[in-house]
Amino acid sequence: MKMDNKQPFDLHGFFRDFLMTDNEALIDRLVECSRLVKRKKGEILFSPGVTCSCTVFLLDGVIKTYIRSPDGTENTLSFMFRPGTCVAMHEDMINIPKTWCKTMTPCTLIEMSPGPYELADEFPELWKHLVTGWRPFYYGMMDKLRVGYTLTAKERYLWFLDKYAPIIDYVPQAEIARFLGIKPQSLSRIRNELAEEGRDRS
Amino acid sequence: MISAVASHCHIVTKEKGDTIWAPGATEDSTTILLDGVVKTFILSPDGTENTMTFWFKPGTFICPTKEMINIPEIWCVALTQCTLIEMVGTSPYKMAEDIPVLWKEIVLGTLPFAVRIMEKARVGYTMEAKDRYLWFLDTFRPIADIIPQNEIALYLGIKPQSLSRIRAELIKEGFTPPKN
Repeated sequence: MKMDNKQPFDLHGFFRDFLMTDNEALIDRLVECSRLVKRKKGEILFSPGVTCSCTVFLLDGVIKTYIRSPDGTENTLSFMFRPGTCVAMHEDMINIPKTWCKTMTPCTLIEMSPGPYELADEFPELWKHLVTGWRPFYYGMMDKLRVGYTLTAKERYLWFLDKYAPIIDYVPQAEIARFLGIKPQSLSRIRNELAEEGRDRS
Repeated sequence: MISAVASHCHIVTKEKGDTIWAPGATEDSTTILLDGVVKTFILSPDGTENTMTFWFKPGTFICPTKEMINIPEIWCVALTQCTLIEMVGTSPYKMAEDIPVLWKEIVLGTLPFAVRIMEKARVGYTMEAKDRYLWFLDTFRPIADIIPQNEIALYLGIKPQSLSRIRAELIKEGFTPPKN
């Protein structure tokens, strides 16, 4: 997942490929609103209280979205790690449920402001990209619900190993347990069982 | 655009308990709720209906693609007799390829659903049982009399006995909970 730091990053090329568009005016506008940044582990990308949408493209690293309990517990909604993942959160999606987003490792990101929701009135084709861009987030969120309702604890952990294999080593076990709705002691037991079966890849 | 969309729509009446869409869908589903209450849920292996949300406001636009239904295996049923506009033979996603202004309507129409799901997660993570029930009453007051108490308890992650206790406390405090 490491970026090539030797070459300057081609934002025009990135947006041209990402949107599969030859609308140069749109690409220029997106580049104008974007900057390539490096974030350290633990940096907040957005948090409740925003006054506009927040959009980042993950190029390298791992980030998570979460909701904070009153005691400070970070209840993860999703982990994102695939290079090219776009997180485009409307301000209602941040402020109403009080969603946070932070880096779990050093990350390289494209941060965009204003974002596609604000730019879509100027470039209506962005509305279509928002629909297609939302789908992985939606499927991820819904599938996690399904897993919680329909799978046993062990099956949930196997689902997690399958879906998040590339980032297993970056997510603390206590956090995995919380994400899956499993008690930490139960997760330890499950991992021991799987290790005996030769199935725990973490 | 309006004529093009309307030509694919018809008004239907669904009876209480009718399925509006279910896993195994072979087409996208597009529904506008005019009257009544529907819910979306995921079925546990033991048959428990785990509600994701209730919809009741007239004009609510519900348009999952077949992937949005099938991947997480989501159901949608009528909780009361309902009047709906159903789109047949196409969907806003397909129509939007020819009528691009529909993409904006899809985004704005589906945003409340995503926000509602995330808001429910927040309520579960941040509130005690009594506060969760009060949130429910605030969010779903117009339909709180229609939803069985054990279903409300399940939706809020509260044991039914705990919900009964909470309701009794609220009555003592002078609050009038729903009649169900």
